[in-house]
Amino acid sequence: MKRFKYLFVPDWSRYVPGFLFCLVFAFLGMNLDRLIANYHKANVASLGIPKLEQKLQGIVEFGDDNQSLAITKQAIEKHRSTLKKVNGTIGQQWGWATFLYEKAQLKYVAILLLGGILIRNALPMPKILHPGINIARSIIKPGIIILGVHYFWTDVVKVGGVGLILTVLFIFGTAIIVMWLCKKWGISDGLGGIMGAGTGVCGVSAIIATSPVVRSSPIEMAYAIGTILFFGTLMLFTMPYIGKGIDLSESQFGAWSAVAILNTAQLVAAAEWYGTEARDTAVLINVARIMLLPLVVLFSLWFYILRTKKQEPGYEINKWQLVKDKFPVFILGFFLLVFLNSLHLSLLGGPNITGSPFWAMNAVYKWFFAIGFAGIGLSISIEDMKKAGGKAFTIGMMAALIKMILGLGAVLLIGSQWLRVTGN
Amino acid sequence: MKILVCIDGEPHSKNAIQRAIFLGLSLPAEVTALHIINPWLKKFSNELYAQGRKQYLEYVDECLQKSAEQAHKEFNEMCLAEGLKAKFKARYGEPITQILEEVRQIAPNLLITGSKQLNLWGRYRSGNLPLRLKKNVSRQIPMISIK
Repeated sequence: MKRFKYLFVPDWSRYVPGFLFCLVFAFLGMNLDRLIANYHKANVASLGIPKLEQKLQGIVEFGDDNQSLAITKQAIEKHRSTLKKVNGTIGQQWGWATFLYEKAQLKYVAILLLGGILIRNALPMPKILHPGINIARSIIKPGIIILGVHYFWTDVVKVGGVGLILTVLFIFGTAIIVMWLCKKWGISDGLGGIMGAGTGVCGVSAIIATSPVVRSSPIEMAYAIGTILFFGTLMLFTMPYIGKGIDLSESQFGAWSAVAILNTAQLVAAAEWYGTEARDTAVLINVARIMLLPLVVLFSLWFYILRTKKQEPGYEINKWQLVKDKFPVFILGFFLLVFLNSLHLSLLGGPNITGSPFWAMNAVYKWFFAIGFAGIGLSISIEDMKKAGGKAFTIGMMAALIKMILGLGAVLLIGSQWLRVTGN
Repeated sequence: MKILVCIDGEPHSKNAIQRAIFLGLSLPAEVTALHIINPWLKKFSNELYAQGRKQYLEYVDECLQKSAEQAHKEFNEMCLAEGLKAKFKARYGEPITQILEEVRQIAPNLLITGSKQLNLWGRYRSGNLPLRLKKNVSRQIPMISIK
């Protein structure tokens, strides 16, 4: 029994209620998504069948080729089976479902995020649920590792290469400019360091990695975290609509969100919400982005401590240990799956080969994402975002706006071709 | 008579301490200062791609400990200067909950807090702790909020 004890984190039981809550919420969200999608498809089928029947009549009357006849019959049959799923009849309409699915883009991501925010902020959330909800967000990580089966090395080299150039430019560009401006405006090193890393790399995760290095004060951390959460959430709910509004392709949106959205949790959510191609591009570029986190922490260390010789007495800095501590080990799992997928082993199959191990893994990734998004939605607290303020708010707003505009310009310039994950 | 004064190390809480000392000496009353160590920052250690969690948690603890020590030192110095013997207590957790718990435990006759001069937006942003506290304790004990 003692051996098994080490498999569990201390006090593991306190995470159970919140985690189960996220699980149930994710289940409901996914099913609501399916329900809306079914009614939307039924609405399309209900309107489409009369038109197809008319077309079929024309084909029969004019004696067109058998192939067109077969295709039309097949399409009618498909529409009928879609209608059958909701026990609907021809002519019946479900305009609300089409509005929710197409116009409002109410997919499972939006249901879980918006529903989560509503539950968290409008209802009294029992404290017993908080620890489990907090750790549920991390469940996205296994989902991202599994997504490795969607890529081949060609994708990593092509999209990852373009993404790496974009990421390096945006991360170091933002971090250096923000830190330099903060120095120029007389903002403390503690705040400048975490705002540079936070707006440049991966939001709150970067603040967590950098704050002990640049010795930020609790009030500076609170301002910075509140600001990043506020603008990250704002970008999550506005960028997909802007993208649809200007007819941005999925791969371009994926790249745009990966370089522009301040916080990584919100970035993954926005891309998944926009579409599967957007998600594939965003995840790959985001992997490149978080790989650079140790380098940005090292840069902050040099910029604020080593360059200015401000090292506190008794505060030892082991640079190698610092890089090791800040390296996101889980992305090695992602690259391992990309490598295995690129070997084309029949034993492992692929995400589109039904019954194969990679197909099974791909089938469950959405559940990891759903539980994670439930956790993200349920953790977005207006009280936390209200901590945004002071100079951090101005810096965050400027960084978010500039990254949004320049990021959009960059992806429009690059075009879809270089940003699309083809999976072959 | 017992006075409980809530302090957070910020300039406005100095005014609250001064008032508590004045009342403590003139009434006379037993003054207890309460400092809340708020672990709010710690919950972000589970952020999606957070790296170096242990170092972050240790650093937050170190900062919170330092701010509690600083508040204690300031309070002691102010009491010493006025010649008042007073107690200092630190509690760990969400401020409102902890203050109410302390009120329940020591049953003071008066509660004193510091309060910033804030505009409407500032009051909304800060969550207006003195006002929320007033709503919760005003039926049990009188409360003074020093601006």
